Amino acid sequence: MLKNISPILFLLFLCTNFYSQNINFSSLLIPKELKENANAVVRNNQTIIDVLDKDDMIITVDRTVTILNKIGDRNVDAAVGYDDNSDIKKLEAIIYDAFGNEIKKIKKNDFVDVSAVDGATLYSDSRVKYLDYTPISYPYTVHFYFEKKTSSTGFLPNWNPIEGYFVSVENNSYQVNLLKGEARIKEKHFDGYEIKKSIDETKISYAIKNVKSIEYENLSPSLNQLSPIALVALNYFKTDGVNGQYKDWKEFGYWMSNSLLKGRNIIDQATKDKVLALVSGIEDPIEKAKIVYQFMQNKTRYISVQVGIGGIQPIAANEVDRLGYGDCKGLTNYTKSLLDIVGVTSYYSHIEADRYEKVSFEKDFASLEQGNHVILNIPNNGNDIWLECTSQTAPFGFLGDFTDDRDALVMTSEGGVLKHTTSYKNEQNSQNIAANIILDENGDVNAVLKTVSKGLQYDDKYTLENYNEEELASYYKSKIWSYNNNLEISTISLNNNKEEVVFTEDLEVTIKNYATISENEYLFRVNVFNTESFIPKRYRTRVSPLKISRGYNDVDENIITIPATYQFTLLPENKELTTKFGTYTISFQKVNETQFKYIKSIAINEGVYTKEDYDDYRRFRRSIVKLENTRIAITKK
Amino acid sequence: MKKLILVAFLLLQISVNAQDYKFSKVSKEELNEQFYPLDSSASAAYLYKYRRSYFDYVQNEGFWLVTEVHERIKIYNKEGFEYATRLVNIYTPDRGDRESVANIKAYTYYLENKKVEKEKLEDEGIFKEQLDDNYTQVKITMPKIKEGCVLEIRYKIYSPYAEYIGDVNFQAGIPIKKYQTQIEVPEYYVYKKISKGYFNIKMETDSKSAAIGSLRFSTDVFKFEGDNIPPLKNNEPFVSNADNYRGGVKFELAETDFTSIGGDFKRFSSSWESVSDKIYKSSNFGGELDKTSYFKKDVTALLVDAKSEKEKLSLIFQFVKTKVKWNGNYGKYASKGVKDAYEENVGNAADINLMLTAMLRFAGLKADPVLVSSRGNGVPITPTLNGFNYVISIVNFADNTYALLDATEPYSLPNVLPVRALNWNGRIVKEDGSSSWIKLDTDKQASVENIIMFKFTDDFVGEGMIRTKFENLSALDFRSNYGHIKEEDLRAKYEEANGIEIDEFKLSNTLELAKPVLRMVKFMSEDLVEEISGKLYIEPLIFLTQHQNPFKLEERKYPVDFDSPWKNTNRVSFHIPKGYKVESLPETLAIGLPNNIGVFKYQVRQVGNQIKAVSILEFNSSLISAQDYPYLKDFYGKLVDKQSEKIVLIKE
Repeated sequence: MLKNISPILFLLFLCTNFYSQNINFSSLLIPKELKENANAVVRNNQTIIDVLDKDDMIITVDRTVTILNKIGDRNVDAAVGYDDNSDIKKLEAIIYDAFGNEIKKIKKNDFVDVSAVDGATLYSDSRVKYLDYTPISYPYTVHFYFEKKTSSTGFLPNWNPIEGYFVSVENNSYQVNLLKGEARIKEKHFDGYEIKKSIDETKISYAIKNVKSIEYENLSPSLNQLSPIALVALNYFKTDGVNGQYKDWKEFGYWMSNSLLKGRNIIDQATKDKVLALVSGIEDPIEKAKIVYQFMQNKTRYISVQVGIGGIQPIAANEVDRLGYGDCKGLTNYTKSLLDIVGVTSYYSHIEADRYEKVSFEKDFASLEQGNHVILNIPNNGNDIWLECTSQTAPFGFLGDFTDDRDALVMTSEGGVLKHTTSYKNEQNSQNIAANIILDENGDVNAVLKTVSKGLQYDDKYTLENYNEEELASYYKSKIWSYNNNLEISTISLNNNKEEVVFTEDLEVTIKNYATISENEYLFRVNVFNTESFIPKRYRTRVSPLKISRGYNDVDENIITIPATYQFTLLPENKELTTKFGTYTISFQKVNETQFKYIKSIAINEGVYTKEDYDDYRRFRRSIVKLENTRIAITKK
Repeated sequence: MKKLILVAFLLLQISVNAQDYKFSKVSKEELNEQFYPLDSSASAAYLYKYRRSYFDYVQNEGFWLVTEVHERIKIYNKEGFEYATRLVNIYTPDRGDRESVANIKAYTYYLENKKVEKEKLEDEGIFKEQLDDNYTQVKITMPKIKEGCVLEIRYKIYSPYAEYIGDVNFQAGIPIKKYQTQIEVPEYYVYKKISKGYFNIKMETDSKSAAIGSLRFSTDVFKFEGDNIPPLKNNEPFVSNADNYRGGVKFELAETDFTSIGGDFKRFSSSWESVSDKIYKSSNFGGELDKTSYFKKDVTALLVDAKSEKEKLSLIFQFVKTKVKWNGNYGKYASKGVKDAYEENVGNAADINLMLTAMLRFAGLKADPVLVSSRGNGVPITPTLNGFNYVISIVNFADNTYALLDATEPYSLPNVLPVRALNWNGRIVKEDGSSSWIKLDTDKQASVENIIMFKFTDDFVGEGMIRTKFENLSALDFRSNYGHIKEEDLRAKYEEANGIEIDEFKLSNTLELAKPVLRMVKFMSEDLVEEISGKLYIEPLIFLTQHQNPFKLEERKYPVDFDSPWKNTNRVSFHIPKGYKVESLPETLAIGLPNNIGVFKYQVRQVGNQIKAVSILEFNSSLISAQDYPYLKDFYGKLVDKQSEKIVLIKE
């Protein structure tokens, strides 16, 4: 039989095979526009998800990426996660040089195998195998392949073809093969991209080609707010041995309540009695909740242990009660269980916690994949209260920037409902300084000041309470007032008013040689304690919109006393800058011959502005910085 | 009589207050304690920290090392909760004998209604996690933690690697009230005990008799006992690795002597000669130096036109740097072997620098390997095998000069080593196995020189040029930090850092390693001058002015480590704007630190219609002791004050 194959045909086969390899893996043939501004080029990333049954799924990824420089090393991304419910069947990587010649082959056992969670998690069975390769020269190409079998079908990988800044994509495709059309899909930000898609009863597929790299710019919305993404979830699934089904958030909530949360709220009689005793005689449900929250904060600590049920089922309330620790799920469920005892309604809620980006749950698409954190909701006649149960110190009902101002999924008795969390906007995030500043003839400053912080500025500060003297001194000297040399702190008194959520700092401060003194004059900067120095980076051509993530409002009232032997002839002009990004004012007011008032106020408004606005914002900030450095000269009488 | 009663009373007090450190004897006083008496800021403290390590004979296997640990930890506040999780790392290679943790017993004690209650640690609080192919982490997390509770933890580590006792560490991140460690070693083993760090406990020695069946022998007992040990903290700038300053004792096996029972005598390390010799004789070190066949052809071709020694050296050095990449691992022994490293183009420090040495020798140069203790490994004070963990190479020339080489760092030069290798002295090992010291710390100053020339436009916008020259370690740092970053991004960074706008930005010699890195920048800035009541105020060094003293803390425990001696020179000149004249200039200043460690010179002059400013700051030593810290702080304070003084111009 073999004899009959013509030698030419054989040669042809050999050629195409040989040729295709070289075309695939050589870096030289990457289109020029994909290399521009890129640290890496994803040559081809093919994800295939075969759903064979409710509890049987195979995921294969075939990925080829060319790394153009050292910064691009992080985009190799040859890693695969696994846990007790999954099994890596095949895993391999081959490295090619710029010409497409194979230089190294890495087998499954040569991948580095580590725990997939950070230090905050005490134990988790999720692990990751990754390729640890020292590049010899650039560019180089990594071809990576894995095949993973898993019995959990609750979480399907998303299609997220734009991997990051400075990475371009030559080809990325994604395909889910289904038993029957029992999946839901949500597509986002597809506009402006040429995406090939095909969806039928048994197959969902997407593909994209030749997407140029995106440059990172400061103060811009995050990439996943702009780049295309497709979410897929199965209506019927199994996760860690538990069957599940939902089509929307309402059903999702029912499923959670009736399976994963059911029977988790049992608490021992001794603790029940204790909690009931604590609230005896109190009627107001909110007052009761405050006492219970305080009880929980004193009793527990946050430790993450993630085993079983894909990390979504809380450990039972009586376990938390006995051990005194738990993760966000366990502590939230425990708090809810305690509130149940005292007759206060509360709901277990999923949320996406992110300090830098407020991410809401998709209104029209329910999936397990959304959310990374659990908090507690207390319905309060439309004025909902939210509790962060992993903190031993947070005030009752205070969320901070970790979970504020976004839609969370609340598991009510009527199923899942999306509700918006408390927000902290602009003037709510305030800091007021009242300072009495006395300058002496040597140019030294003696000052007494009171700083009152609220909202997210409270959030930034309330942990100061736990600092010791040494740490506080270093905080003020090296961080807050690092621009004041020779600053010493004589007294510190801090007050954390958790009831009102107000943090107050009372300080007495000296600064030696603050003023510059010469024969003729005495010069000093009027802004001693709250100098803004932020100027946005200059972009010759700005591409992305301007995003100001958080607004705030600072008002400083300074009374400045100059030495009696000096006089001020002219106080600087009052100034007011008003823009759509906020306002800035400074004003000077003579009190008497040796005293004047310097009042400064800055208010910044959060929001997304156009890219054209960026330069205006930069100018605004530049002017502020200049005015913040205003100095005055006083002369001898 | 009165006195006597008082004494008796005092004695009574003492005996009442004397703590019972037996397991489970946690007292009410300990639970009631609100803060650590000697340091109220401590969030937790070891009330008791006990370790006992001893050799245990296992039939058919030989000696095992058993380490008993008993710790009693007081948690004062929530910050201290992290100490309620105990992490123990053990060596568990895929192939070979494994260590294990056993007999874990622990309780949390707390007060409930003024009564002492306790909660037992159950198995569910113990987690084992495989960290990598070689290590497993055992995590013990305590139940029922609350402010004020006391934890008591006891466990044993069984190690088949009896000879490896490891470090006895006196200090922890929190204070220790009572410290006891006891190391028991059979007479057949002799250890070198090397003290380390900035806190010391005197060692007491004792001995006792022991037996295995009918064999009787004596055991040496080394005891360390201390009270109220301060914590090790690292909150100071310019500290390379605070762990280097942790007080303790290293136990390093020096010899084993089984001759009395018919076995062998072996010496491990007693002098730097024998340490060096032992390393040299290892097949992963000396053996690798002898191999030449794998590179013979390539190197012969490489050197075909090379004539002088220096030329050969530079060709080979460059060849190794480009051919074999460093995988980030240290090591005094080759890990892959030079041949594989050469073929796979990747290796650890020993693979690379042993290969380099072999090639240099092949080319006829007098090259030898140099054993180094890297910065993270501490200073090599007493001879131990673990004292070295890195290798570089040296070439001696006929004119008595030499070149130290490290090919792991692509931007290094002869005698300009990367910071990791700049640690005191290294040990040259010659072909005949003899060895000697060589100073690694460099005398060459890491130097940055700026020259600025600018003028003011009519509306006081400054326009001009700044030329910067980086030399020695500064050039190496510049190249390795920025070598892979696009010029456009560097330009943007420079604009941001200095608050200027840049019209032209040019780097030269970034790849010509032998030459200094040069940066030429054409800039524009509106912020160089300040107008107050008709007068102009200008900082002489404009945007190069140092406004902040980096040393703000009152005290310093550890030396200030600058990595290398260094020098920073700034020269600025500009034309006085038309219609203005000088009212005052900052006065000249020249100050120094004791023993000529550092100098600052500063001068601002008017020359015709120009102002010329010069500022020179130099340090002749890379290390400044904690004793000299107050001088350094004051020195920098004066520098900052001086540089902040303004030139004052008035209308003519």
